[in-house]
Order: sequence, then C-alpha cells, then structure tokens
Amino acid sequence: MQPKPNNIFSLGLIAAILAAVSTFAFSKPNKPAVKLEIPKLFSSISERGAVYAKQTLELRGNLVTVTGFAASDPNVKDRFVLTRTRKTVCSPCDESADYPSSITVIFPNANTEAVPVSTDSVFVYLANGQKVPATGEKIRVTGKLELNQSTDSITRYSSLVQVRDTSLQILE
Amino acid sequence: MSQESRFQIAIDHQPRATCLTLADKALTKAFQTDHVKTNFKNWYPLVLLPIAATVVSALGAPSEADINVYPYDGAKLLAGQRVDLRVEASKLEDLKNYTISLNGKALTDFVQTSQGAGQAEWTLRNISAKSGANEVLVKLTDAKGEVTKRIAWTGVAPTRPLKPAKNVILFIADGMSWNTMHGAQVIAKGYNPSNGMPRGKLEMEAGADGMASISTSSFDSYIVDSANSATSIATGQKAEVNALNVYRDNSPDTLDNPRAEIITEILKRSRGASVGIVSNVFGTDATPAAFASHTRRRGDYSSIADQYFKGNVKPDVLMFGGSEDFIPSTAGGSRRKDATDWITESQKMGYTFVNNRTDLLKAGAPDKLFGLFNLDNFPSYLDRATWKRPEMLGAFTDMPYLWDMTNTAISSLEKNDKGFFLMVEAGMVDKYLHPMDWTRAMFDVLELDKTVKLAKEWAAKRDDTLIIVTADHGHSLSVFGGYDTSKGAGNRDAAQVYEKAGFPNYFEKLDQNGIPLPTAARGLAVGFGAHPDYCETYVGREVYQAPTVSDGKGGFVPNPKVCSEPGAFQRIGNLPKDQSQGVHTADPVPLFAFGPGAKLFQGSMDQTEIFFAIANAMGLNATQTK
Repeated sequence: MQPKPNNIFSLGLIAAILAAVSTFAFSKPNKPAVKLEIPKLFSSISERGAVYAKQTLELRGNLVTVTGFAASDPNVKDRFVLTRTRKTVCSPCDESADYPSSITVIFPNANTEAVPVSTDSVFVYLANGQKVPATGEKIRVTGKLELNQSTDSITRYSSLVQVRDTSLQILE
Repeated sequence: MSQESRFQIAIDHQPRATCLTLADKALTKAFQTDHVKTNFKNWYPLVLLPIAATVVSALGAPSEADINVYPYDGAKLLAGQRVDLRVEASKLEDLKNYTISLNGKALTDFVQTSQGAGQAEWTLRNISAKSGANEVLVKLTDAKGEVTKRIAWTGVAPTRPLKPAKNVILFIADGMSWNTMHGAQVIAKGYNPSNGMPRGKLEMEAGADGMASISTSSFDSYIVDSANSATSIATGQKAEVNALNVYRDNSPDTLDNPRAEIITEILKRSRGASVGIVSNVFGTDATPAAFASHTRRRGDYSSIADQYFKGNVKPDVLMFGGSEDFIPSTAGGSRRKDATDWITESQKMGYTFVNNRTDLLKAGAPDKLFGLFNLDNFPSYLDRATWKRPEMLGAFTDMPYLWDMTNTAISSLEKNDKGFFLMVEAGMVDKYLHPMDWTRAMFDVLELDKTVKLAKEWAAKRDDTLIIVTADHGHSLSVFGGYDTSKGAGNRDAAQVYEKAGFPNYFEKLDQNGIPLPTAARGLAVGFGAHPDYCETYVGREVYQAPTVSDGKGGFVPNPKVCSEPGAFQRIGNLPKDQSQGVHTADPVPLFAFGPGAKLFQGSMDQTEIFFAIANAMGLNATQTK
C-alpha cells in the first residue's frame, strides 16, 4: 500500500523532532575548554609510579587546553609530543639509556618497545587538516582529554596523558 | 661488504689449488733425503702430479659452508669461567654430519637449531676452558664435501696471591675521561696562586697503589657504548654495541645469545660471596645491568629487572635511581607490560625496601637491601645539593647521595665472611656529558670522589679490600682556559688562556658536604672535540636545557632558548647534522687502584684486562663450585 501524502509529512515531522531531541539530549553541551597545566597532571609521582591528579581525572573526556613546547617528528604527520619544557628529540637514538631523563627520546622508526614514559608531557593527536608544529615551538593545544598508559603505534612514544582531535595555536 | 660478513672469521676449507700446494709441501718434505734431493727435480712431474691428484680425489671437493664460532677466535677466558659455545653454519647444502670437539674431545648434547635454509646452529651451554691453550675444532660435511674450522682460546690459570683481596669495590664513573677527571680535580682542589702548585689530588687518585690507562674497544666497533664496555670489565670479553655479557648470534631473540659468565656469577658460584650493585641512574641501565644480567639488547629493561631477582647473581644489595622497570604496568610511568611488582615481590624474598634518604640512613645493615629513590635517573648532584630547583627535582626531594648508598651497601655486604663484590656507578656523569652540560657532569665526579674517600677510609681499617676507580668510556671534553665570571655569562673575551686564565678558585666556597659551590670568580673554560651546533655560555644553568632541537628535517639546530641567554654564542658543530648530542670517544680512560692486588693495574691496559686483574687479585678459582 502506498502511504498517503499527509502520512508521509507526519512521519517526516516526527523524524525531524526525534532527531532534534536526540541531538539535544545525547550530545554534550558545548562546554568551554578547561585549562590544564602539565606540572599539575599528577597528584603524586613516586618510585611506585605517577598518580593522576583529581582535576585531571575529572576532566577525562572533556575539552582541555594545554600549553607547552612541541617535540615532533618530521616524518609523522598527525601526532606529536607536547612537553613542559623545550626538549631535544633524539630520533637517531636506538636506546634511551644514554640520555638524561629530562630529555624526551622519540624513536620514529624504532623497533624498540622500551621507551621511557614521560610524566611531564602529553601526547597530541591532531584533528584532520592540522599541521604538526616544529620541535621547539611554544603552542597551545585544545582537544579531548584521554588518560591511558599507552604506547603510540607509530612513534612508539609512551604516554600517560593524551589529547585527541586537537587544534593548535602557535604562541612563539 | 656487509657488516655481518666483515666479521666472519676465515673458513678453513681449502680450494683445489690449495690442496695441491699442501700435497706438494708434504711430498717435498717426505722426499727430502740426500739421495732423493739430488734427482728430485728430474722426476718431480712424473711422480708428484699423479699422487697429488689421488689425494685431491680422496678428499673430495670442499664444502662451501661458512662457520662462525662463539666465544670468538682469540678469546681469553678465565679457566673454569662458564661460557656458552655456539657454532653457526650457513651456505650448507644438505648437511650430512658434524663433529665439534674441545681440546680433542668430542662434545655432545648440543641443542641444534636452524634459522633458515642452508643454516644450522649448535649451542652447548656452560662449558669452560682449561688453563693454557684451548682449541675448538668443528668439522662439517654436506653434499659438497667437508669443511673444518679451528678456534683458539686461551685459558687464564687462577693465581694464589700471598695476600688476596677478599672484597672488591669497583667504582665506575660513566663517561669520565682523563680530562673530565682532571677538570673535576681543578674544581675541587685548584692551585696555589703564589707558585702554581696543585693544592691536592682527588681521592680517586691520591695514594693509589696502582694506576693504568685503559683503552676501550668492542667486538663490532672501536667506539664503545656503556653496555659492551661494562661487559669487558664484567666478563673479560669483547661484545657488540648494546650487548650485555653475551656473544653475537644469528637468532633474532635477544635473550638467547651465548653467554659469558660474569665475575659476580663466578664469585657467587665459586665462593658464596655477596654482591651489591649501586647506581644513581635507572636500575636497568647498562652499567648496573652488566653485573647481573645477560642480553643482546640493553633495552630489554623488564627482563633485566627480572634477572636481578631470578638470575644467577641475585645481588644482596640493589640501590638505584629509576624504578620504572620494577613496578607493574598499571603504575603510571611503568615500562613493564605485565603485573610484576618487584617492590612487593622483593620484600617477600627477604629484601628490606627503602625509597628515600631518611629511611636509608636508618636502615642499618639488612642482609638484603633493595632501594629505589626515583621514578627515573637522579638529577645531578648540583640539582640535589645546591640548586634544588623544583623543575629538576620534581616530587623527589629526599634522595640519597651516592656515598649514602655506598656506605649502607658496605654495611650490609661486609657481614659475609666469604667477601663481597660491590659495583658503584656514578652514571649521571655520562648523562650530562652527552648534552655537553659539563658543570653538572664534573660535580657528579666530585660526588663520586667523596664516596671513594669514605670507601678508602673503611678499607684502610682492614687491608683486605681492593678498590678500583675507573670509567667505561670517555667523552671529548677538554679544559683549555679560565673564565672570568665577573664579566658575565657567555663573554668570549672572558675566556682567557695561558697566564691570563688565572687559577680557578671554586674551592674557596664549599657546600654543606664539603664540595665546592659551582660559582667561582674564576671558573673553567671548557670545550668539546665532537659536538653538534650548540650555544655556550661558559656558566652552568640551574634548570637544564637541551643543547639542540630538531630542525624539522631530520637534523638538529642549537636550542634557541639557550642561544637567547645573555652572552650565549654559537659553536659550530663537527658531528653529522643528525646528531643532537655529544658522543662517546675512543680516548683511553683512567683507572686507579688501592689495596691488595692494586699493583696488577699498571701501564696501558685493554679494558678486558680489568676482569682478569680482579680475578687474580682475589685469587679467584673459577674451576671450583662451592
């Protein structure tokens, strides 16, 4: 049976209302991004490991802004490390062992899995179309906060804090 | 030529022409009687050629297989020192049979494997060499014929010194060249400005009973890293870059390589001595790892952590900086991929655990002691003792000094009447020489020097302890002048030479530990022989800065933050542009020794000789098991 025109109109109206309600009910309100500081990511760091700060945990899944210095690999297009202080990126190193802990070591083509986990950086995954900044540039990133202890599959960089779908602003 | 083939030892199989030559020589010798000699030239072709042809026919064509044997040809082993024998054959065509013998006796019970077509390997673990000459003979036959290979080892006989060293304390300043050590001495002691005489020596050299200049090299490179250089000291063997106490093999598994027994393993096995390992870097770093673990890849951090507690050594005392390989993967900052928690597990094994200086100083002398005082490497001595900047210390504000750890380690270890071996590493010397932060590096040498002083004072009461202070490799640091700090940082005209250099006067102001403060009216002017482009100011900075940053194209440029400091000037580098830091050098390094056996260290020595000299000083008999 063919539906009558007025019935089609009614169905379309109901669908549109449902879609609007759905959008309103299930999407997050457009909260402003909350400023997060790298030195305050963890409430404690001891020989037993680092513990996320309360604010860090509360912001999981939300929009945050983080300011720091880029440590990037020119061969990797959509992700980089944001560090508290300017770092040297040691791409040719095949082991981390010969470098101070305050230097972030990245292995762009590394086979090694033993990358030190930095507690004074976040790992940034850029939104589509964003360009990776050069190492040493001071930048502010805005994106969704994730808290995982994970090793990035491409850079092999191990991080405890990630910011995804990120946009960035170069400060200096 | 590939790197692999470059290091293959020549194979003993002989092509036909060579067989003829050999047959010719044998026959010539056989016919060398007066009578035959007289007429030999006349009937030589008639007799010799048919006989030679018969010999060649009997031998058959030689196999074209390549054979590698480890321990390598020319290895020097302590008699009784356990090693894994590995024979690897490639280019085989249908292997028929083989025999592998040591000193004329056929060896059995090999584990045979194959890494691919035409390849075969045989591994036999825990064999040992006898005193004197040893020969490994490998004979293989494949479809093409036979091939043989002979390998010679030298077994060093145990000695019985009149006064053997019961204990050994080995101090290693990672990366400390002669120049770095001397620069630290100038900071610590300075000169008498009225006559130019040095005001004293470092404790690590003062009153030494033996001293040597140590040359370093490794199996695959004459520039060593901290892993294979420590292997030279710990086993007397040359190993590949990044390898710890293992020989090369052709399998991808980095943990199955043929092993060489470590001096700490021998001491545990042969006399039940105690072992301690102390370092201010992360606990699985190469130098500490070399005294209790085996791996082809120093980056096998989790395995190294496990080997501390499960391996042959099981050190009685372990105290380190970084904990990241001893805590479960769920802990923030852990590098492990499993739930192993060595802090908890070690306490079940009877270890007392400490995590800060306050508790360490109260620890007394536990039988077993495990200390972790940071998540990663310690910051430098200056960061901990003088500058105390939160950017450098982070959450770790109660870290012990190297002498605190060493004193407590000795207190625990000395209870064993069978003696002990303690390795103490000042690991951050190297960590800061790489980025050319010579101020931090030299003051870490001074932290070590105070530690050596206390150890010497302890040993002076007993006369049974050999103390050795050495480095594993050098960096290209050189002190070339004096710096007039009144003219501000980075003033090139303030870096004066010869008589205008003045006499550095750091020693006039000491910190709470009796070590000079890093500020002096007349400081050092220091440079490096091998470095990337970077900016120098001649004065230290309280918050560490990397010397270079990436240029975004695979190279490195001077860190603009350093270059923007007042007076900073750029030094044009001489390393390839993809190098971000300074590098290890081939330069010899110092060694000073004190106590029984110290005189065994003299002149110019290869780094592997340190192992044998320690064994001789202790009268170590590796052929026995307690």
